[in-house]
Amino acid sequence: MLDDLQLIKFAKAGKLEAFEALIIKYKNKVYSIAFSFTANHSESDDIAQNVFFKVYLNLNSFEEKSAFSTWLYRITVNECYNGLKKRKNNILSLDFEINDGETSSVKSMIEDKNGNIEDSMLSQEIQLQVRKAVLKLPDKYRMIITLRDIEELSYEEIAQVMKISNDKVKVWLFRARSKLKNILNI
Amino acid sequence: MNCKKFKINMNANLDNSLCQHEKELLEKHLNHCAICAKEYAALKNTKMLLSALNKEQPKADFEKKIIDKIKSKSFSQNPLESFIAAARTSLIASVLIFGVIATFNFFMLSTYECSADNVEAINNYVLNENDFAKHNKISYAKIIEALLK
Ligand SMILES: [Zn+2]
Repeated sequence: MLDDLQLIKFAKAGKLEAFEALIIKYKNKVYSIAFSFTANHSESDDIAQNVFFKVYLNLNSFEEKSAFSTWLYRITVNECYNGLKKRKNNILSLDFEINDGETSSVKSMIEDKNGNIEDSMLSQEIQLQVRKAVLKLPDKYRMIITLRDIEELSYEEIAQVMKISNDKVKVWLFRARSKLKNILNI
Repeated sequence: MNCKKFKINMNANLDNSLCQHEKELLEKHLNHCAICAKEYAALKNTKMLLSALNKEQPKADFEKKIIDKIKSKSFSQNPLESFIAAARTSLIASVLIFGVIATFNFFMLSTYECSADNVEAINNYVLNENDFAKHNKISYAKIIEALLK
């Protein structure tokens, strides 16, 4: 099995199969980041497609100073933000509508489990409520929560991907989670 | 230590990024401060909810769409190769343009030059014609006149 750098070397030499292997390896992660940020399948598809196309066009500018994944996620974050700019009137076009004050189901679910939801499978309705709540966060908080709590990137990786300091990662995470907790009313 | 300081550490603890000492201090505080304990439980549940979300995946033809797009663009990915390809095209174009202009000039200017630069050749021709005139009893002046028409 070839590692990322070997695949990139072959892709740079024009071997499309090598680039396809990179897409297959990372497509789920890239798509998932885009979906956590937009909560919309067609937008996530656009973003993820653009990400890999840009990666291909810019393969020669990847200097191997960081991991390929870090470089890839950085392009993904930029593409998520670019998608926001393109969106008319800056309104999120969701796969579902946001209704205010509909988070009671989350609270009662947690109460049903005596406050311990570890290892719980979330119902479709709860998933929807959480996604809606995440969409209400400001962009940077929505992104940091996506990268840390949904995609489980490390502090260091988030700092590189979002181009912020490690201390800022901690502060933004603290604010993002506090806000989300309040939106979810738990 | 006040509650505010513990709030930052609550989050850090959710990410397992506290040292043992800080972790013990936090646990001690949470055992004695109901407000912080409640907040910590809520933050922990928030994080749990997020990590329990379904991971959404792209459609099955995802990579095919990208590879097709790359193939359809059919660009040369090496900048040097692109430059050479561009230079080759320009060279062929300039040779063609040169050819057209040269051909055009050759035909247009050749009629011109007969009356200007190639005077000597005309003189030879005329002198020969002079002999021709003598034989055929046509005046030299008439031949010159006909040539200059
Ligand atoms: Zn406290």
